[in-house]
Amino acid sequence: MNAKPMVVDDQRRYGFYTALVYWGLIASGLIVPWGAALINDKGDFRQLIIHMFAPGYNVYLIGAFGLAPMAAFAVFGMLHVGPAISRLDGHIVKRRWFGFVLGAISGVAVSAWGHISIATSRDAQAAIGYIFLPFLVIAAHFGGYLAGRLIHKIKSR
Amino acid sequence: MSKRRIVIHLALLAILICAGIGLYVFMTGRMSASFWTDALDSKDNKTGLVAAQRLESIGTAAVGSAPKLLNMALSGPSLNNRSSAARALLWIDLQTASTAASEAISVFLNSRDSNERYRALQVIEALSPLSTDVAPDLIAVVRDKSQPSIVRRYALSAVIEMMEPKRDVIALIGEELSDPDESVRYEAILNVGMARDPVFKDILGDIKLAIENVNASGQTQYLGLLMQAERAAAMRQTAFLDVYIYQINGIFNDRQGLEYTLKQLKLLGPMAQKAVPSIAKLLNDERPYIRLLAADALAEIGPAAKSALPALDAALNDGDPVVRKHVESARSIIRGNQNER
Repeated sequence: MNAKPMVVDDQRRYGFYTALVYWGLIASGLIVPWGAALINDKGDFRQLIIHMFAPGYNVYLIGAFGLAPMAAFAVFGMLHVGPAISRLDGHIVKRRWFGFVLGAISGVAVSAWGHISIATSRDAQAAIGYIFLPFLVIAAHFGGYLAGRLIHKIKSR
Repeated sequence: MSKRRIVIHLALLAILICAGIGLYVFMTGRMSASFWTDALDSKDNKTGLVAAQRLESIGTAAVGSAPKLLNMALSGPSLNNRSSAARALLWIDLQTASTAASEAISVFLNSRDSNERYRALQVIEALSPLSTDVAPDLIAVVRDKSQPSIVRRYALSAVIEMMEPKRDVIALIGEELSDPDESVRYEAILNVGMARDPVFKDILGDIKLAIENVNASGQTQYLGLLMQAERAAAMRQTAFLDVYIYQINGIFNDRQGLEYTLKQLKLLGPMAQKAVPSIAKLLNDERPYIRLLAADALAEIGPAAKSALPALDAALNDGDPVVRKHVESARSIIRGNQNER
């Protein structure tokens, strides 16, 4: 245990970064699926807006499907890291924060891979992937979280 | 990070989610009817198309959009826009849809311009339950090899959608499976393959012949479709019937699923007698188009649907005059007066 105790400045810094990851995740939850749809629409924003509520496209709903796992993990992160920061518990904060960040990155990466693959697939049946993708993303979030904690544990030995 | 800040972040997310749900409910619900009606005026074809599709899903609550949809169905910028507007009218206002069908039939019968005629055929096909009077003319056009192939092809597609008179249309499909014109032959193969229906039992020989021809010419894209059709045609009709009844009684019955099922039951005709109680219940459906299709399906079942007569009698007071007309016709047919249709 070589962690230094937290000071008020650290508390502010970690609070700010936690909020940043929290809102970054929520923004990614919408940007990733809509961005993938935009790639599919060859960068045409007007087309994307039309497809938002168009039967057969439902890009808006796909965005909601993309947001759900990321918002869930963001809430988990906020409730998990936030109270530790307020307790000024340096070691726990860093361990949890590391897990939160790695979980966020892995979830966003899996989501981006999934959404782009489905949106650019030539087979219309690929759309069934939208049902399974949130479960895969949530698994990636928590897999990344555990990995982050493990890496931090090994590093701090 | 204080508890207060955590709560603020969570509350902001909750507000964002509620706003998102609110926007979705608004844009896909009845309240958005005027928004999508205005979008019909867009110069962009695709926006107009999406607006027509959205209004279709809103249904009768979007009755204010009927004049614009009628205009789009008859003179819309693209074929997709025209047929989508016509389809939307079926779910929104049957009387305006009847007007659109009559206009399109008039253009098809009177125009000499083949482009105008095939555009009219798209509307006739989209409004098939209201355009059945023109079916004999369509069959004649398909059989007339001197007609432009685009008109023959779309006439075949429209008459297959109507499937009335059923026996004649099925015989026509059998003939057209070996039409010398590839586009007409394609339409026949595509429809018989996609329908996967035992009603094609009567043309099983034609399907087998088409499989041999397609196999000989190496057109593998049609082979799978035709083999599917062959398998379906050889199946017992009752096997399909149970699935259709299950679908009608299902609690998750979506609009288009119900439309498809009722059209399939209509195709089965007297074989669908077992489904009569389920179909009769749909005469009370809140959607006029579903009530119309239910009456049509009962009419096709004919005297075997006698148990539905009380429900049909009650439906004579239906608020929609187009539905009433179809109910009256169904009653007469079930009572044995075959000349009604």
